[in-house]
Amino acid sequence: MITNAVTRTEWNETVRSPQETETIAVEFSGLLSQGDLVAFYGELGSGKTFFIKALCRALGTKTDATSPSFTIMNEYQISSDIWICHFDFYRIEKEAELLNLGLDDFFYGDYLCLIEWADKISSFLPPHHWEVKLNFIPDQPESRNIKIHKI
Amino acid sequence: MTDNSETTYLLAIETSGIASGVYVSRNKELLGQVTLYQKNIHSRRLSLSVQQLLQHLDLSLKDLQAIILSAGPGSFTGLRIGYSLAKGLAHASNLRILEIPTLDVWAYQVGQTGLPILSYIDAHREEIFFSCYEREQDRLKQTSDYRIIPLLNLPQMITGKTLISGGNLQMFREKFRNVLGNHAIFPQVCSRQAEGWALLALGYEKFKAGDFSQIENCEPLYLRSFKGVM
Amino acid sequence: MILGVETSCDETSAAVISPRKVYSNIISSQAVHVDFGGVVPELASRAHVRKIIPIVNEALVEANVRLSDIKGLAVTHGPGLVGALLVGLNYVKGLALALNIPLVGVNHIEGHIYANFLEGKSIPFPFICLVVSGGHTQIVLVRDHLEYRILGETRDDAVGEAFDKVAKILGLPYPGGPQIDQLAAQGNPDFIEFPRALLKSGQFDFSYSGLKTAVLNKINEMGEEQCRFSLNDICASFQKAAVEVLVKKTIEAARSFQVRHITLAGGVAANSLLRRWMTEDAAAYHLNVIFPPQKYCTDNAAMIARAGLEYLRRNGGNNLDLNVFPSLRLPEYQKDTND
Repeated sequence: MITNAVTRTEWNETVRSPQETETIAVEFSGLLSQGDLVAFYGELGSGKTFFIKALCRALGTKTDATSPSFTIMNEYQISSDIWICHFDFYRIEKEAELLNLGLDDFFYGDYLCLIEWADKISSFLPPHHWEVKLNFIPDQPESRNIKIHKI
Repeated sequence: MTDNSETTYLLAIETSGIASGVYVSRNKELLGQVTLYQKNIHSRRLSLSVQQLLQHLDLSLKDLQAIILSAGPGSFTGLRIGYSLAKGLAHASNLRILEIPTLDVWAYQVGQTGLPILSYIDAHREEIFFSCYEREQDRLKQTSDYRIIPLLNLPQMITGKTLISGGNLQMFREKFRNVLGNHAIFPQVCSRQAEGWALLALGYEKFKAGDFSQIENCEPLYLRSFKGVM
Repeated sequence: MILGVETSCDETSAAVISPRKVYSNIISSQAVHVDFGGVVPELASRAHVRKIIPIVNEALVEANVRLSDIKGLAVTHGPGLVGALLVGLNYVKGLALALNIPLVGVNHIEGHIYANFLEGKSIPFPFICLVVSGGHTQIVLVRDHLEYRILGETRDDAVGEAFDKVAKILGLPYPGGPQIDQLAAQGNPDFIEFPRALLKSGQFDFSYSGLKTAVLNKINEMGEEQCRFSLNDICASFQKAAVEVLVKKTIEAARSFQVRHITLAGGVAANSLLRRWMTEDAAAYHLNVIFPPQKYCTDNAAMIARAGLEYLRRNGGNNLDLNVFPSLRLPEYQKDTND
């Protein structure tokens, strides 16, 4: 896609509806490629899975993304050699449990990794990755603050 | 006429790193190989590679004496694919299994010089799996355990000129130079993988020594374990 | 005779069956995960590598057969933990190559449906299957052997996941589902009115994300002490909200597709309220609820072999390049105008 506008690479916005979240997810999806890792932060119910669902749709997964919390990880195929790994570490109690969990095969294995509850495994994340933070806004149950940036 | 009773056919499988490799030897000689470097295809292609390579060589599984496994460390997933396939093959064909630590293979393939050798495999987050070797007559003798170490701690282990062998050397060359200075010597030709011919050669030695693994409980050399569990 | 192998999660299982008989069905559960509050994928994969041959040998010995007597192989190739699935699939590929017999990949959910067809039993087609587990919430119309249509499914969390997450919020040990079931039995299900999502008629999708959030909000509102005091009531109220939607939608699906038989599959099918409520409501509409035999309700290889047998009869085997798919969906038939 060729546009004259400068491609946006950071967000810090308040959205008022799921539709607005979806718009950001679609825009953000254009920046991602194989080998990237996106760490998602936000409380239970803040819409991490919803954001990832929209992101995956925009990236062209054949099946809808679903929450992988029981199996910790889902894989979605985009094309013959592009795979998304969707992690959910909610039920992990202590980071130490994850030591040697076999995550490196995925984090360093040319997948596009999308990680819910990334705070539970912070020391395992590769140094360079994207951060997406979803926060509630007091007294506005439909609204969220979305922050995205690369570190 | 050759005496067939003296002939040993071995099948070797390497899936510890980027390569999905299948190799067949007759005695010490490499007869054929299939090596694929495409990402994430070990699971789909490995069994087909075995089938096709044997077909090309007019061999069947019954002609084989044993399966050699590149035992790791390396990609847990890749190693388990190799192990699982080999277990199925061995279970149904009454073949024996020989395990060769992949660090031995990396060392063996550069082992012609007289220098001490450090072989390594990327363990990520600035750590490596490694092992050290020295030449003793015509063999390589291991002088350390198989271990994991932060790159920064290497100078405690390496105090003289050492030949370095391992994967992704383009990227690692600078890292080794930074921590070891001119003690780090690099091979003239960089391999992309633990080589099939070296795996077969080490497997053949182990076969001659009768050093077989138990096919039921053998498992990859993970070198990372769970505290208190395994 | 067919050998089935199942390694999709934390159970290593192998079974030898024929269409009319289960000769053996060995299941080895991995106790190690209890300490970790859930299945740890890497631990599960490692255990499968160590256990696969001993478990298959046990199945062969109990069936009193040798590998050379086996005429076909069936293995779970999804959905499940990718690393765990890979062990079973590649081991079976090795067997297929060495024995020169066909192998077929079976969907794990399909296996649960076929638990009803073991030992020569069957359910008359067509029937509705409610699939409820930690990873799934689906209403499936089974028109004939191997012909599935997903009528509805969860748009976000699976119902089993909602149980586990609510249990975790309440500080209950893993696995949370049975814990909630037990505590709920002594609670007041009308203590709190939690929302029933998508309980509109005419469509069969589910949503459990909102219920989970509602429980969380309620607990925060009540505070720790009152929450502890009313634990049974919270569990009962949550369970009622979760189960009611399952029952209502399943019954409605059966009625609108004019199907008389209903079966349940997956871990949540063990929930006592779900079983009771489904049976009662079905009876009111003259529908028939069939529960598979208890011993084939948990993950096991016999059910995988049984589904595999149907594939081998109809389509022959898969190629050796078969892959695993952690989020594999049931294969759906083409919808035609008659549906």
